[in-house]
Amino acid sequence: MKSISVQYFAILREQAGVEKENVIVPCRTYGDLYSHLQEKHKFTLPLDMIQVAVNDEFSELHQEILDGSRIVFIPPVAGG
Amino acid sequence: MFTLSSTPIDREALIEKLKDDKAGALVVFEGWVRDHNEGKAVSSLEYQVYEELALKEGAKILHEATHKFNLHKIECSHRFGHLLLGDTAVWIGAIASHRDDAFKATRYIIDEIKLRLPIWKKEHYVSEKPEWVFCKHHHTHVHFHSEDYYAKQAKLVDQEVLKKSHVLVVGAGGLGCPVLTALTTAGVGHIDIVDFDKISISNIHRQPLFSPEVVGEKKVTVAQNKLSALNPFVHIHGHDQRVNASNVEKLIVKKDLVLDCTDNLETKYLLHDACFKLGIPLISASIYQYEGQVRTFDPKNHSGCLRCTQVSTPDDSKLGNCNDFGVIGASVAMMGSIQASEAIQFLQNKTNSTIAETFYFNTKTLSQMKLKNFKKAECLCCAGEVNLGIHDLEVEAKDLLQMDAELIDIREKEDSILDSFHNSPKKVVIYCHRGVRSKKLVLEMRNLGLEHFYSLAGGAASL
Repeated sequence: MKSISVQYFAILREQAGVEKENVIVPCRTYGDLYSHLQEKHKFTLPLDMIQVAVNDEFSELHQEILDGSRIVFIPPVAGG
Repeated sequence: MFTLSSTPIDREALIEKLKDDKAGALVVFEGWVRDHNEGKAVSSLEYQVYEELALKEGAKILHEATHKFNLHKIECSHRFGHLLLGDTAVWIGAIASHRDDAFKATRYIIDEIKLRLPIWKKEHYVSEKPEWVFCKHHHTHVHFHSEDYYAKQAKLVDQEVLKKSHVLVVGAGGLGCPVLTALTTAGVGHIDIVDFDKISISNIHRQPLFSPEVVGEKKVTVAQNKLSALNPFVHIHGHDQRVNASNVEKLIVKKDLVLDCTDNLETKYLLHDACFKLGIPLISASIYQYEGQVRTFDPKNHSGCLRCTQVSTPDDSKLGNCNDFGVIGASVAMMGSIQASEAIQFLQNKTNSTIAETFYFNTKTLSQMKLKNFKKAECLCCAGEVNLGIHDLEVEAKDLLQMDAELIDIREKEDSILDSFHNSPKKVVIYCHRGVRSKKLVLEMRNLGLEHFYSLAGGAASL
């Protein structure tokens, strides 16, 4: 199990109903984590539209989760 | 015809010259000598004119108005010398088939005359000494120097560098308006604008280059006029078109910087890919309600691109736009201002604060976040190996007739039905129910190098 702080952005924040949360999960990669949280919060955006940042740096969804890291899930933002 | 006159203007003679059976409207504007100005009682006026230049510039203004507003004829006369209260100082008459053009034309002509003609005015007052008046709308080009215009930023920017810069701003909307205004007034010498849209009443709350009386007009035209008036020392050039895979390279080539002020992912990714293909720097901004982001991409800087983390273009239909989720003028202007400020930094120093990090800002909580960009080691896009064809997958039903293409219905059929069309000499347009499956298939075809396949946008529902 890994303990992670997750922060949401834009439409994900709306659908999660929270800006941040701490989760303890059995997931291996950031992609797995998103799918896990997608089920919990009923996120409408598919995984291939999501970007992930780990400890203030963009990363890749297939990377293994660093225990204790601070994660931000970012959907594409298009308005202008 | 434009004339200057030292004697009273003969209205009847001018109207006689305008008479024409084609005309459905005559609009006349007269400027009169009034008895007060800025709190002082005026007794008379004296106009001095630089005749040669005024005649030339006057003729030019009338020529512009004729073309802009479909006029049949214009007559315009400006007085000089000593004028008394109630005298007509300027007379403009424009005839057109319809009243709207005639109204707009007279307004345009008087505004341009005030701005551009070398005519000076001395006011004689009832109880004070006479004075040459400076009217803030008067002949900007003649009186002002660019050094004075930029005086308050001289310690912060190298004006010559900005003057030589050539940028392209894509989108004249919520982000585009503050970006264009800031770059124009900062003195970026050459600014091209691309937008295909017309102004609607619901744009104005966040797009302050526009006002209710220009609803229905082209954004690029109105923006170009407004910005040129804001700063006469820069060149603004509008392109009334939608950016697509076939025109994008022509639009961005040779620019020092491209600013993405668009509102959809498809155009954002197209601009992004094209900029990496041609090695042009790009600053992109976007907003969702209170949350905005700004990022600079410089293909020469090796700090990553969107394709480093996201190989396929995200689909707009899953996201919505400003119309769906709402937007506040102040918030989008904030992001546009940051984008413009980053542009000015970049033009001067070839670097800025968002080149290695993406900046996120929330205008509700005033919280911010910077995330370091990710660079994938073997990213094709970063290396400039880009196929813009992936942005040109769809055709619209209205364009089918002139395409001379095979139209294939793939509803209830296997993907393999397309195998026999791999070598088709004609373009092949495939359609399903809604255009989702067909688009996916066309993308697969393109990845196989089959460039002649297209998907019908919207699918069978659009036929």
